Amino acid sequence: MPYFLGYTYVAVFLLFGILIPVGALLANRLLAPRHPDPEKLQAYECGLATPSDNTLPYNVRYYIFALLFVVFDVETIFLYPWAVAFNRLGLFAFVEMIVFIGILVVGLVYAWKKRLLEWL
Amino acid sequence: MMPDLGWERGSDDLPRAHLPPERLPSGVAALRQAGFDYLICLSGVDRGEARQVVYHLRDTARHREVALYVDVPSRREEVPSLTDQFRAADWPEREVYDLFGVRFAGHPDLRRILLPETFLGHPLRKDYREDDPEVAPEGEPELPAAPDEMWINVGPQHPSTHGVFRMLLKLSGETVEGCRPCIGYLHRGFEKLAERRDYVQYQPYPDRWDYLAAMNNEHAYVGAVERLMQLEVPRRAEYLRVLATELNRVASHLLWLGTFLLDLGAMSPFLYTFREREMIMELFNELSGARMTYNYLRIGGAAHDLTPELARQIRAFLPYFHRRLAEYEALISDNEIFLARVRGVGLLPPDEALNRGASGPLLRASGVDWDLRRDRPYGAYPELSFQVATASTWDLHGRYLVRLAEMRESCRLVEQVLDGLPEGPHRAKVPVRVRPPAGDTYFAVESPRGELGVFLIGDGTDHAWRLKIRAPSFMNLMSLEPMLQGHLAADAIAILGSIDILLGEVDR
Amino acid sequence: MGQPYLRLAAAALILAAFVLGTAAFLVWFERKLLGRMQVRPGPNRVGPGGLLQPVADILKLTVKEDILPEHADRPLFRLAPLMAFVPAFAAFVVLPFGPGLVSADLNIGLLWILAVSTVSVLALIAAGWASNSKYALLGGMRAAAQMISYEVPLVLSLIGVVLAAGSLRLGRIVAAQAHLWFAVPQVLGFIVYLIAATAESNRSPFDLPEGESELVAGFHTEYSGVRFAFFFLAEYSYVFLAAAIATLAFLGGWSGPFLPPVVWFLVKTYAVIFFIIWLRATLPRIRIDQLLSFGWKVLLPLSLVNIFLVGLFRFI
Repeated sequence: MPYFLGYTYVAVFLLFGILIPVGALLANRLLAPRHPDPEKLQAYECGLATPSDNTLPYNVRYYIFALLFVVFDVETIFLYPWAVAFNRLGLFAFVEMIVFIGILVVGLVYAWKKRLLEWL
Repeated sequence: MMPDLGWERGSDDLPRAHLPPERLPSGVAALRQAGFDYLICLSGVDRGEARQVVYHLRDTARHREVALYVDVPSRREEVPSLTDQFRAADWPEREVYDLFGVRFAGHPDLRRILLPETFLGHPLRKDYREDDPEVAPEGEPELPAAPDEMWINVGPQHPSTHGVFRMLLKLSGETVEGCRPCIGYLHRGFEKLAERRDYVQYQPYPDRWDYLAAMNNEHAYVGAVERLMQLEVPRRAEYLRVLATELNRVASHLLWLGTFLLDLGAMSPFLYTFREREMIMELFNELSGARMTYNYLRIGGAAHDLTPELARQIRAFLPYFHRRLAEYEALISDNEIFLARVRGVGLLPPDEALNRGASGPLLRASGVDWDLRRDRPYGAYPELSFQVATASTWDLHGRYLVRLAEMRESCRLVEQVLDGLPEGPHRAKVPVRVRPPAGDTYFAVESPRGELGVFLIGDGTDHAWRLKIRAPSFMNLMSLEPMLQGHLAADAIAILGSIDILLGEVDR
Repeated sequence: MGQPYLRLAAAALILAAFVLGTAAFLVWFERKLLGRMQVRPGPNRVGPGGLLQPVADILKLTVKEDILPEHADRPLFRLAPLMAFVPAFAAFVVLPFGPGLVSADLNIGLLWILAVSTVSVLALIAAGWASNSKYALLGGMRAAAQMISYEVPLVLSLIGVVLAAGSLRLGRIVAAQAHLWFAVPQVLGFIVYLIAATAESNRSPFDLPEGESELVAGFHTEYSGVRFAFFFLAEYSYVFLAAAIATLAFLGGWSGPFLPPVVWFLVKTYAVIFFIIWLRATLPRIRIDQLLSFGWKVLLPLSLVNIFLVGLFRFI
């Protein structure tokens, strides 16, 4: 399949993917009742008024995991082309990649030892 | 060994002492020194001229019990609090304050507990005007929180609070730093109702306290009345009572198992356990005419006899149930995820448990070997043999294992009852007007949730003067906060589930 | 002249129908299967054997009032369900159902699916944040942490497959399994993939973000009606997608005797889906800290070991 045609398919699919929910929402707009009421608009809190403010700063722990994720995701970006070309590359490329992964594993072990991989 | 507090023998053979309020703390301290480590029950009583607070204490090691009666001064209705000696006094004192208006000096947080905080008046007082109730509109509590903390509301409408229960959790990120339980949503005034019905009329009511273990409630109530009446119950009736209460224990634990696992995320066992529960409810339907509120145990015995057909059906159920239990164990007990969720979670050390008045599987899973059926025997239990299950891990896993074992033991007891059922009447001859002589008595049974006690005060008429229900779930719930400390929000629900509370008896 | 564009239109329409139909069918399939595993019938009223139940559900959701919570971040609140659904749908463009039965066999096939499904993480965070509800917020955060933690082992477990096939093109990957399904030599990778994919789709035992028993409904607590429907449909589409990748990458895709390739493809995919549903019926939920610990300390190292082993064996 020619290169651009393939991506035209992608574009059309994305378009369809957007049109379907939009269509459904339109159907909803046409068919559904609309009776807003302050009680209905309140956030759910087990049947009672919310005891404290709703938007609060969250745990920094999420940041650490996000950071680790970025590092390893970039690693996978390098791994994929290497994997595709693997059969044409020699032993050297294999060892090189293992070294690369090894460096990142050292980082992971470091994070592990420093107790960064725990939730609390 | 026993401190000299002026003991006399009460009508139910329990040593009792009358203490003036000032001497209460020292008297209790002396008793604690002597080995009394458990506050069973703390009741408020309105004697007419004045209020009174009654304390029942127990020495678990030596199986001794005593009762302390403290008259509340009329001018200023206040009595020293025992919360510094027994954490188990916390909520009961709040309840006495709520329903009688008696203050407890030194209590860390003397607020109403069952009624809304803005309620006016104290309903269990004899001078309370029922035709003119006073209620003020409810507000919301003040909840202090540091900047990185937030209060989250769990309940009263929540898929996993096992009833109408509300707890406010103070979270710091995912960790629970504090907890503030709010109860009273299901308060129906059972204790006051008892004063308005005669003993016979009141019989259908106990079913509704802990409605999952209804037979046990009935047993506690009729047992207390029979003690007051000094009525001898026929042996056959006592055996039938064991049959009813033990089958009820199985049914109750089955429901607990299903919902506990549901809380942990395993949906399927819930449906399996209900399948077995259904069978038990059908058996109860045959026996008593109802599936949940049986009104089966009556003053003097049981309402209906066991037919040979029903005995056969029960016998057929037992081996089937044993096979099912084995299936549950195979499915759950060794599951990695399950074990990771329950091991080391919700620890309750034994001394904490005793000091907070815990009982039942909660107490036994904390390593305390105490079971009323064996240690304070009643009914037909002295004639039957059974094991008491304990665990030494103090965690959710221990409570799971204890309840599983109890289900097995209950089946063994049922079998023994069926094998050894004595001949005779299933109910004693009871006068139409039940009018026990005046007196006080405390009678307790081992319900699936723990020690279910009834403190009954009769005045010689056919109406009770005071009926105090010592509800195990109410007392056990006081152990929730220490168990939650430092745990994740996900565990909070599991820990609450492991206590096995039933709001019907928490709130009464 | 218009021939390729005719094919394009046909493919888009067929896939649209297929995705929606499959998602709806999976709703029925799961509920029926769970029901049977739980000794109960499952849906059995609407349509023969309850088959029209999802249709009834979707219809019901479509005519429900659209409630936007006060103080909610409106644009984001509206965008989140689309962010969940669109990638799921777009991923189907490279999915081959049989030899040549694919809309667009892009040369980056597998990578396209992985890249596009990651966008759904954003949808969860957006939903949690935009709802202006504590429960939703906590749910969204948990979901995010979970998904990024399992994204890495997921992606890494498929590297072994790419190594062995020498291509990202899904058709090539299936062809490379003509002699032996990759699940056999790369059993470690297969297992890691299955676990990571279950976690990525927020399925039990990794369904913390939905934490039914804990935080009501997690990140989609405040969503109702059509908007909720799209989260729902997106989840089921992902389940199918995850199972389809498992089939293509590890179970030989459409290969098999006697029956036409499409049938084999669907049979194998549904076998994987059955397994995923079975997991839901059986296992309790893992707690967030245990989940993250498992993802980083166990699954990630195992997926790296898998790559090492596959690479090594290429040289032996």
